[in-house]
Amino acid sequence: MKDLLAGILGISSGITFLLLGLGMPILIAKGYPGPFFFPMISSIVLITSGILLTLKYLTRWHRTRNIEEKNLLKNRELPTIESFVASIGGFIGGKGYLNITIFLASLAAYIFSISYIGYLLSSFIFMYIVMTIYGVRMIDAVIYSTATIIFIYILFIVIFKIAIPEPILGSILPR
Amino acid sequence: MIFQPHIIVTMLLGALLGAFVGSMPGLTATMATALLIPFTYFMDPLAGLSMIIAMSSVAIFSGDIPATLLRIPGTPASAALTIDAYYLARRKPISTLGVDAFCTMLGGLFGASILIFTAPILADFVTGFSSAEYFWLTLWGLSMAIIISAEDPLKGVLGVAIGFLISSIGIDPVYGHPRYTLGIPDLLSGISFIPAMIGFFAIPQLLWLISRPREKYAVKIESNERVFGLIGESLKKYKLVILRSAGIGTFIGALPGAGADIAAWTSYGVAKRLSRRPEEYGKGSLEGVIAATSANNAAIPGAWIPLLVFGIPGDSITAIVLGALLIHGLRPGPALFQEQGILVTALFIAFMIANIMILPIGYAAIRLSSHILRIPNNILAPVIAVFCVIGAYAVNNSIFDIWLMLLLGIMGYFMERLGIPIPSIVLAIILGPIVEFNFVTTLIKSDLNPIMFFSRPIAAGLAVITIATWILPFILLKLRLSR
Repeated sequence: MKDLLAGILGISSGITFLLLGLGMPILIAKGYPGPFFFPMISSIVLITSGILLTLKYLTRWHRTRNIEEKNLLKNRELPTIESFVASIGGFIGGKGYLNITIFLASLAAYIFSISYIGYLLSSFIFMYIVMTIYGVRMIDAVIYSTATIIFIYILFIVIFKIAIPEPILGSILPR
Repeated sequence: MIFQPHIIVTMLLGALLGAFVGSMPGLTATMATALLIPFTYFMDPLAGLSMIIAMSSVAIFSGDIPATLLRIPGTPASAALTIDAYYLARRKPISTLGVDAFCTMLGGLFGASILIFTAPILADFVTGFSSAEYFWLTLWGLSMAIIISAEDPLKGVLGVAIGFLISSIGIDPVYGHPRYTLGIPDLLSGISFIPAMIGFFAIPQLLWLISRPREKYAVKIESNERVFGLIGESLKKYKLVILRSAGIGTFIGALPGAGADIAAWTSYGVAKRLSRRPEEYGKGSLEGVIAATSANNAAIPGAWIPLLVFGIPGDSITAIVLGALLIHGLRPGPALFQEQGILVTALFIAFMIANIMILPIGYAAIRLSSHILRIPNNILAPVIAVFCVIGAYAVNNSIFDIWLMLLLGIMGYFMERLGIPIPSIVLAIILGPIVEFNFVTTLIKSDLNPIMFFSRPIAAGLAVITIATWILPFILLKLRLSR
């Protein structure tokens, strides 16, 4: 399954890069390699390795299919929708795929909010919410989030003097 | 230069971070290096690089702590010794880790000595290299990375091609033509290196941690052993094993694409084959632990040899370091030795200091291991995520870079699940522009005559080695099948 998915990924992304680069010159004056020459070679390599991986999967599948079919006939069992969903879930991250989805959604919301409420406040809210979602006690979540924010404030703002994203209404903290 | 207080303090902080990262299963030295790079951007190059050296050396040792106490390798470099160290730890947990720390230090010092003696000689040799030699050398480095690091070479090739295409986004290095920018101004300068590194190395680790949020490890050590109690006896008995393993580790570390984990496995295998008691391996062999641990840390300075001399990273840590060097305006190669001789010498000394630091920091890490291991993933993951975000933002002050980090991180996670090696992608992102530039420059210099790639003796030799690297696995496979 992994070989097939990797193969499809290789073929589709290779074709995408080829199509996106069609407007660029492959060769320039005198026949020197142009800006698209190197990406074109890379795209062709990507598509070729994708095709080979897909073929590798299909040949293996063809060889094992008969045995599986025989076993299925023997056991009078057919693969169910549930077993297919479970196998996809297993690929994404086993039982933890829901945890991963929630975490990624929280991370995206956090990054989106940085431009509006600033880095420090959004980081505090993100850490607090994620920690409580995943079972940390509220009081512990407040303590860990606050400690991290203080550490970041001292390190990045006071010592390194980095311009962190500030709230649209402006920062209230001294620099 | 290296003994300035602020550099020693940053090294100490790096070593402490390494002790923490190594001790926590799920966090790797590569991820910590990716997270450290934005910090080092605001330091002088020596302080930043010394911090990374100290962090990676100590992390390699600390990875052995959960391997020994819990049978869970803290970093991939500790996998080879896990079973033996775990069985030994049932009887003597503290002194086993003490021997481990001491041999890690010896391996690292050996590797650093080889780096100090060979790098300047090799740099002199490389002075006469033209674009043709650099083209083959870089291509060989990538080929080695594909063959060694990927479980399936086809997936390694796929990873390298993806990395090349990612590196081609932005203004092209030869003609200044915009490529794949999709009308987004932020992409004109290309994919920023730091967000890409954090995305590829840190985000997949974070997702792994959060997929098991309540996981933490309880260890109770009830032992009055002395940490370094077994060292004298072990040194006397296994001095040759230490020396041989350190040699193997340095050599394998210097091969592009092969890191500390492969060095440890190879050394463990050689030690077992040459041992008088091979039956003890896998059941608690101190010799096996010493062989693996002397090799894994020797590979760290070993990986810096091709990095400093040729600009080709030996492993994923040095791949990130190469990016950091370029950000600081330092281009590895013979010119670095000529123009920044003092910096290079200071880095050599930093390796020595970092390895000596393993003893005191390792001592503290061993004593505090039961507390470190108790931090659960549901606290660790959001805290690291916040550092990833500020790290991705800090260098260019760009929110776009944070989104880029997230996107590449999700891509990296799925590619890792598909068995596509992330180090190959990263190596190709870094080396892609170098390969392209040297390829096109050679063709322009030779007026499109491809013979130029083979006309100089060293270029021809490197071409033969590169092509042999591609063909040899097929010949070996055919030979094996015909038997």
